Amino acid sequence: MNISKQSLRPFILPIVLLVIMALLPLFNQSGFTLNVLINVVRWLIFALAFDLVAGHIGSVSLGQPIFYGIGAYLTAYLAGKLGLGWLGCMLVSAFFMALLALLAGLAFFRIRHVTFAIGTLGAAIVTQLVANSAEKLTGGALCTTGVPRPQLLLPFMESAIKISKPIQFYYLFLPFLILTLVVYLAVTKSRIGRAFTAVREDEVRASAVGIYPLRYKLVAFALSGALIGALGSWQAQYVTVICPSDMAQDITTSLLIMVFVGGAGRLSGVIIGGVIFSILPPFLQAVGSKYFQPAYQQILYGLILVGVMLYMPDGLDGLASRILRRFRGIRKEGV
Amino acid sequence: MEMQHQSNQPGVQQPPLLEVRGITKRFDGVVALHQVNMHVNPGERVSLIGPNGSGKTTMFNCITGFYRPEEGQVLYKGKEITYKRPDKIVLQGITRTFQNVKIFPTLTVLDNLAVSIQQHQEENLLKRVFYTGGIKKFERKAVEISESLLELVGLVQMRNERAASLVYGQRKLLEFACALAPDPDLIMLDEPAAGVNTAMVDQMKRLILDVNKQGKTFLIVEHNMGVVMDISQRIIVLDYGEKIAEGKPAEIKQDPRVQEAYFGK
Repeated sequence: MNISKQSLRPFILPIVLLVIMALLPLFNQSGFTLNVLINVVRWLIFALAFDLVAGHIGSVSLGQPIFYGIGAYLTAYLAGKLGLGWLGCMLVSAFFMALLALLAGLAFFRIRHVTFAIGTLGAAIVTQLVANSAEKLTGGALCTTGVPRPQLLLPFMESAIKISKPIQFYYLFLPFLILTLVVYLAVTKSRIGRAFTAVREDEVRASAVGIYPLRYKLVAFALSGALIGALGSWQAQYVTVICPSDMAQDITTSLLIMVFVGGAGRLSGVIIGGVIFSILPPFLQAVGSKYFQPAYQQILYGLILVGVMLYMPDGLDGLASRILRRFRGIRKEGV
Repeated sequence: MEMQHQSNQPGVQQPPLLEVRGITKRFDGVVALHQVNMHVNPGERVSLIGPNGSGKTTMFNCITGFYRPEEGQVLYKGKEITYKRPDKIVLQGITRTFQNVKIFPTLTVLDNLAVSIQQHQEENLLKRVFYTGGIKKFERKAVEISESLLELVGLVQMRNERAASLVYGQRKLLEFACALAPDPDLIMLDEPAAGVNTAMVDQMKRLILDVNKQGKTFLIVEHNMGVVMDISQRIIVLDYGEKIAEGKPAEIKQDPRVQEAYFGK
């Protein structure tokens, strides 16, 4: 992180990624490809929002699926009962999840490090249990079904298009990833991001230069909550069904894998991790679901995570830059 | 307190920059500071000395808001700051360094300085709701100040290196520069000469004297007696959490209580 030496480098990877993602469906429009692509977009948004808190503030929240689930349930109500449009649902979900994040943050940021992680994990488990039991509100384990699909009405159109095909969903979804990337970059490459780094590295020192750590933690948490809330809202309208299991712990496991294996607190790391680990599971399933039971996948993830934490603390991205540096160093010596 | 203050500095009429009144701090029954009074006048160089565990760093933490004293008051420019948050106290113009050198290792050297300035710039910004477009100007100004400070402490060539790559002495210089960065009135240094070689000790002494000439006030905790005697105008001695002596370096050298505290009977 270096904001006083502005360069174009951090923008290269996201732009390349977006171009590839925008063009890919032109070559292959199979259901499988689109499904994978939508999955990549969803996980990238989720991982970027997760990384704002875990990577930049250094508080690993294991409760982020709460914002996703509540955003989704809220949308089921807003779109289903009140007939609010898709964009309105996303905005309202984002707003309320930011608010919830602020309130939850005030409570949870009183504890730190491991206790913060355990506390937020507990909150996630309780929320899922409540969603499971509050059958009148959420439909319980039978899920809330029949969330209306989005309808797109642009100024030059006579009647709204009902978004139902995967390709339509995909291209409507992609701008949301762009927005998330813009927010992520705007925040982390600015003075706010520099203050985030200060808070992550040393809260005492941060206070000694006039930074109030809680303020920046709340900013990051609220931003993350808003993005994830909007994502939940989107997902509810895409699959039309919301279940308590949408807030399950395996989502957090995947996020941890993506962010920490990729490289926490670095955009390129999150992109690398997010893309690899959102593509890998469907491929593993397609290639050999008989060999890779979902349960084995979790064990595999666990092993990867432990290995990375032990041997590659700065993730794949850190490994890549270390190799590059060594390569350059050797070349210099060779000359 | 007032009497003492006037007797120490007969010519000075202005009120002290920093005044500590009857500070008591306990940790689980251990009294780290007991009813300590002290003050620092504007433009002065004051040292706080004493054997290990005498409460010097505890006093620093009480003044800068990291500890809440059980009794007593801290006044800065006549206003009470006793129970304020550390970040609020910094923004009023008191900066400090830490005994175990604190810097932000993954930020660059320049960003370490700039981040020490930004909050001071934005503090005023928050009061003006409709301020726009100022951040770029602020950042340019912050970089400008940072660069001049890097020149002062001789770290210009490390400008874009991560602070983690600095050696110990360089980290101390960077931390010192960070303490100067927001243009504070009172600079509190916790052992500026500890653990560095003699050349760097001399550099540090020179820096403190130079910056002091420009009107900055210093309160310094230091173990190196040579440094203390050279740079202090006044010395306050703590032992077991109580002030046992106060005076000019020459007086402190002769003081039997100080000799007893340091060397035993």
